[in-house]
Amino acid sequence: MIEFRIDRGSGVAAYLQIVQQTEQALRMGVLRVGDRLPTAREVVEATAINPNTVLKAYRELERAGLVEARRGLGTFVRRSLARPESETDTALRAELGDWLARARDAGLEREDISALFTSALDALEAAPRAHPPQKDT
Amino acid sequence: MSESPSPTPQAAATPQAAAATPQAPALRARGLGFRFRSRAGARWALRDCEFALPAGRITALVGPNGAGKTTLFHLATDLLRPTEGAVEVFGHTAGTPEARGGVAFLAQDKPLYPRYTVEETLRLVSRLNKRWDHKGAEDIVRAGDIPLSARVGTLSGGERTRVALALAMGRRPGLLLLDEPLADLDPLVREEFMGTLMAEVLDRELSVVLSSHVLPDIEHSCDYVLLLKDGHIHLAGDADELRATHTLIKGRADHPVPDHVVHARTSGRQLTALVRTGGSGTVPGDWATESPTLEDVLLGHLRAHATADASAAGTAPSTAEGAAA
Amino acid sequence: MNGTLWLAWRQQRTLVLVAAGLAVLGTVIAYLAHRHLTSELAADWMRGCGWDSANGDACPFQRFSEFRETEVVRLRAFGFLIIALPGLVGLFWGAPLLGRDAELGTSKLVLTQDANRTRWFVSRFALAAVVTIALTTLLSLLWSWWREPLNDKVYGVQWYDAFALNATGPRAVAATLFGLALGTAAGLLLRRILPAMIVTLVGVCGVGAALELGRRALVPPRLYVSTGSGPKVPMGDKWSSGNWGYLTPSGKREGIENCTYTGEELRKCMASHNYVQRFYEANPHSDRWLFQAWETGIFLVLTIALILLTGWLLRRRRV
Repeated sequence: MIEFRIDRGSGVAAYLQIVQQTEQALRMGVLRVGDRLPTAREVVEATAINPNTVLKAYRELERAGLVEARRGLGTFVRRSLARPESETDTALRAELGDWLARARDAGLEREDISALFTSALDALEAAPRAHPPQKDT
Repeated sequence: MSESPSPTPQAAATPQAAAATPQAPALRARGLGFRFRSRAGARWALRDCEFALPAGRITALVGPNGAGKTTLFHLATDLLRPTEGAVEVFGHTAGTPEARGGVAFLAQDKPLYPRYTVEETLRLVSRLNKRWDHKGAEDIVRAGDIPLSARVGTLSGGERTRVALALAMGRRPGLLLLDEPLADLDPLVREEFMGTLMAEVLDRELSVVLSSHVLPDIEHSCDYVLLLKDGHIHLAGDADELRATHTLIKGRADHPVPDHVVHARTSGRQLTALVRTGGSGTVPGDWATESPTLEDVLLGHLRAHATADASAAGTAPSTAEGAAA
Repeated sequence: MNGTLWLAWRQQRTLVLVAAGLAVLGTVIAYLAHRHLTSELAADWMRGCGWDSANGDACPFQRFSEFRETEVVRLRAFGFLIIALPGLVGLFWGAPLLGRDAELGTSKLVLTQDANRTRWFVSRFALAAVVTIALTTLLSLLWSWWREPLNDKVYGVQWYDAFALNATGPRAVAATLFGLALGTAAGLLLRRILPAMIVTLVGVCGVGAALELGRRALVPPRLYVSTGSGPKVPMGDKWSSGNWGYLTPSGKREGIENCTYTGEELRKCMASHNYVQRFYEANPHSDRWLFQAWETGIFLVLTIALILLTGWLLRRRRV
């Protein structure tokens, strides 16, 4: 079972945080098909967020086909997002490692590297969809 | 952890908003006013208040000290009588038996008899009510590991608050009013209390109005907001809607200020402002935008109103409090 | 049991138990004292003793006067308890009755339940009133019963003595009720027990003292006149005002100091001053009921006024 952590300081809506954390857990294999998600009551009690928020997040996950609610039993994972580690991943990871080493050699701090990576990622995401980034960095 | 589905029933599969009848608002004020009379003379604690809080919601009642939050609660529970106008609980005028039965109140100082045991306290309140859920009340107490035989006077602030919540919930109210329930609690207990409260809301058909100074605490707990300032309603609305209709902008101070600025602050060459965008989310001009948290929105509106005092107490001479609403 | 009444009982049970204890204790004391008194009055040594005239050798003087003194002291001590009841009840029962909830803030707890504030007040006050009325009635009846064999026989507990007037009859009960109502109103008005206690003490003592001093303004002593040196109307069990002397033909009263003689000399003296009659002022025994009626009435009117004030304060949401 997973535990949700709600970041109260971020402008991201709480229901979205739950959805994202669930997706991430599915992607990382922390959650597998058949696993039960914590009940809304458990989430609400642990995080002190609005019950409607949790219900909304679960509905969203259900709509995406990731989980299904079984009456009286709970909410269960239907589909996993985890991908088996492929050749490509290994290769990409190795390349990234090389790149990081070069960045370190060029005198970049951890924060600099992170900022560089994020902005490149943002640019990549923004370009094909022709959608201006909402978030400033 | 891939256990087989546990038979634990999932609490309240039906969403609250749908379960609550759409009829009368949980709390409504019509031209509500209350005037205090003291040796210093008469003073309006509340004036011309007009609002309707929808049922099934968790409303944050926000405002600076002395804004009239406690007075509003006292009017709703018939501890005070309005000087003018009226308050209604689910359509019933405060003080009528129907209104009394529908509302439970947790006062700020959590008044309890110190020499009674927790059990006696529960029994006492049960005797004063027609409807009483003893198990529900006891469960809340037990969940906090409070022995029923403990004397109330020996309990910690957090435990007292929990007992007071149990007393309120035992009445099975439709509307729960909480006056600064978190004020004297440490952060850990605060989180725990809010968790218990939210679980109660999920389990029951319950509307909540909660006043708080601690804005981060209400950030994701409350879905409706009532901002009170100087005895007047300054802002009322759905939390998500408020977040969606406001934008935080940042940019150079010498740029022309956009319309609908709630509150703006300049420091050096930079200007930061909260803008009411009316849903479009876009602000004309060269601004870096960010979606605000509920706290950002509330702080902006609180500051907007406090302009006059703030300019006198400004931290730097460059702090110009330009405000328009 | 009705919820507010149960709460009233739960919160006042200590006081109710104390009151019950006092009632039992008072009954036992009065019973034993009365038994002792009657057996002494019937005792052999008492046979030669008379109550009005000087006793001869048949009465053991020392023992008889000691007996009288002891009985008066005991009766007065018991009577003092009854006289103190209005103050005690007002301080320890009335002042905290609503004042404690106001002081602790627990009124916010109690008054936001289903039961409304009228029932809250009525239950509380009714329980306190019933118990204190019962206690006062019992104690004052016991006192009268105990005193009965000595009625108008010894000085110090005659009907007009402050102990007898204040500790008996409806007046004693009304005074206790007044103390309770005053304490209750003060507790609600001041919302703090200690100041309310002080106000109650001052109020109860003040009204008590005013009645003690002003009693005869309410029921003026009557004038008793005897012509010339003829036999006086006997004082008997009347309550003398201490004002006695001579009357001139015009009806003017003059002090006794002008003619302090008896017999022939008195007649001469009276003639020389042109006094025609002798007089004294006193309240007859039958006035006891007038005193009782007046003072009971005053206490009841004050009590009702205080209860109305309390009700008004409650309606004005002064909790």
